[in-house]
Amino acid sequence: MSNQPNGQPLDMPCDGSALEARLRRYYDARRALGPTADELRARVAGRLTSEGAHPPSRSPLSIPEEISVLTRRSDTSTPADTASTRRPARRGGRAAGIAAVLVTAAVIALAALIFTSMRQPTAPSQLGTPAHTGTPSHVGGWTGWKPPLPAGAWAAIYLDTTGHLHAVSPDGQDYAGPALPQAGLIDSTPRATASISPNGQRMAYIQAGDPNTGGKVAILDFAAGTLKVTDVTALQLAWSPDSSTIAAAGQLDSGTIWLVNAASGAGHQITVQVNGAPGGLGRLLSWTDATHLAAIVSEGAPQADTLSGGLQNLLGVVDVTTGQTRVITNLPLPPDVYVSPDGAVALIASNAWNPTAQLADLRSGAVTPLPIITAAFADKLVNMDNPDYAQGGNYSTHFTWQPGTHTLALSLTALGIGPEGTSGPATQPAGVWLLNLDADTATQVSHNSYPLAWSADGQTLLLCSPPAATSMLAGAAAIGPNISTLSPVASSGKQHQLASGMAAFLGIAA
Amino acid sequence: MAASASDVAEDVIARAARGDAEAFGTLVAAYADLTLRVAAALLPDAASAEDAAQEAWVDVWHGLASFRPGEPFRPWLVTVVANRCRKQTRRRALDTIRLDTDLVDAARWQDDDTDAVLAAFPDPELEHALADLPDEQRQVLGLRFGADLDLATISHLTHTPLGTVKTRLRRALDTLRSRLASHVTAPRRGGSAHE
Repeated sequence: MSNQPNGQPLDMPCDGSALEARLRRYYDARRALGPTADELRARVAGRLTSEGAHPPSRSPLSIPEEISVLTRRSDTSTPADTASTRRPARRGGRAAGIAAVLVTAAVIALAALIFTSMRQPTAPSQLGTPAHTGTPSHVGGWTGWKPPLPAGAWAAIYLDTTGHLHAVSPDGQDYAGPALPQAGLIDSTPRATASISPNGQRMAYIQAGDPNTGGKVAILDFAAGTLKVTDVTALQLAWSPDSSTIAAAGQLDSGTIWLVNAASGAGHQITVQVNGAPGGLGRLLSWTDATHLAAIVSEGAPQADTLSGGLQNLLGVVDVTTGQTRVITNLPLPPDVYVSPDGAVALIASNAWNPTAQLADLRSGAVTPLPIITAAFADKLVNMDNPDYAQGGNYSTHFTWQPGTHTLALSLTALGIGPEGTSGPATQPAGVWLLNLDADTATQVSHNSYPLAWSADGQTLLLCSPPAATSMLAGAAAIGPNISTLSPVASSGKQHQLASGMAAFLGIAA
Repeated sequence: MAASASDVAEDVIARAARGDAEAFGTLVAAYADLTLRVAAALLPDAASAEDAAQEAWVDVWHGLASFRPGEPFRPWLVTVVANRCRKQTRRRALDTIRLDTDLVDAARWQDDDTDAVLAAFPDPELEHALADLPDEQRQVLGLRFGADLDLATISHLTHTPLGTVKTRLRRALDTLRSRLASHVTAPRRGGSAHE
């Protein structure tokens, strides 16, 4: 197993460590050097006296609205549950008498015990998503849409800047469709806020909603021309290989996955179980077979937040019939993981915080380094270290797998947010790289595009170009306006423009 | 029947909100530690933190009228403290600079009374490693391990997405582990022990 940059093994636990205990001792000791509570009280009294203190009611203070959000935790907190419970004996005999200390300690211990019991992690199923009964609704006013394509042909589906659907065929015929209702959360990142089913017949997308908590999952049936809106709220989607089920994950850290029937829109919820206990869910990756789903999870209290970091990120395979998760490996921070469509392997990409690209065998659990791919990206990919969820997370914005292979087309983004502690953007040359995980090879096929999708026959790679200046940022602005094809898929392949005016790429319909 | 701790706290808060100075004093004493720890995490030096904590309590005195009875007091209080710290930071931004850590280190080791200087710092090695962290990472560490705040509260206090808070915490811990591990075998003399 490879190491993280600091030399720590990847499976090293990241909490409850001696370092945290040392930090607590340090802060306690620093605190002991400051004023006592009585001293502060005296200072405050003096300060109020000096300004001629008047009753509080005469001068209200504006308190920010965020207070209401904070009340979910610590609702009944008392002085005893503050950090003062950890303060050591003070210097210079300032503490009260021994008897008082003992009584105080007993009260504090009791209060701490009560508080600890109250702070047990909330069960994921109680984190705000109501039990689902499955009553999808049909959208009123939706006129239906069936892309008018010859039988057997594929079409790239995209949204234009006015929110209207388009289907463009390989010969460049562009068919305009109706506006997609409530397309507010669609972007083109791997968390898949819009995704076309593997059989190309339906599209699921997340409607407008809160970017942190998600929107309603809607299902568009191309053949029937229907649009169903489920009552499942989610941020991420993943189609099952047989196109029958959509896995949907809600609020970050929730630890639950919705399984939505694509035909009916009805769904049910499972709780991710990691090492025998409810765990956290960071990101849905993709299904590995009909009943298993690769995901980034965490143990215990939800703490996997792979869109932006998280304290613990485990690559796992979730059995969707039970929620039980088989942990493959601990992931570096931030995790950049790409699971092959056949569910056999995953690329753990290199980035500023993970210098070695790795291949994870999802069946055996083996994790091996990819030295050639690592070397090819050694001085690149630095811009994939983006700590802010609101600005696109940590992963490459654009990628696609060549059908039937373990070859991944991955973008190298041109502009990103600089690493933590630095100011200003970081830049690098943009481009598309083909990474063959079986052979450990890396080949650059484009210097000014990002990959969107691969045709089913594997002969044509769809690209977007030119890369937008804000390419690392999530949302429609993340991609260039043009769709083009690259065929054959090689650095010497010919590129043809199919469409312009794209705001968001949705996938390939058939 | 004896009132529970939370009942007592609510009663004290209610009386303080009505202008009862004694109750307010009780409140200050009870939560002084928390406010000092939050301020210490958010501000770069102890003197500023103590000033901010003191001024935050003045804010609390004036603001208790807007505090809704029955609402949790602790998150309201730490938000007042954070707001005061932000004001303090803005006020001091024009007339302070951050000392280069090498200069601080050199100054520390050129002091004749080395033992006394070291004794003033609970954990000089950790102190130095913390000083090298980006401000935002150091703040998260102080709020988490110094003030014992949960990550959601830190997220709201610092106006930072929860995921970013986690990222900063993880990176800060990783960096400290690395730095402190390298110190184990490094000679701690002459101000050059922190490479």
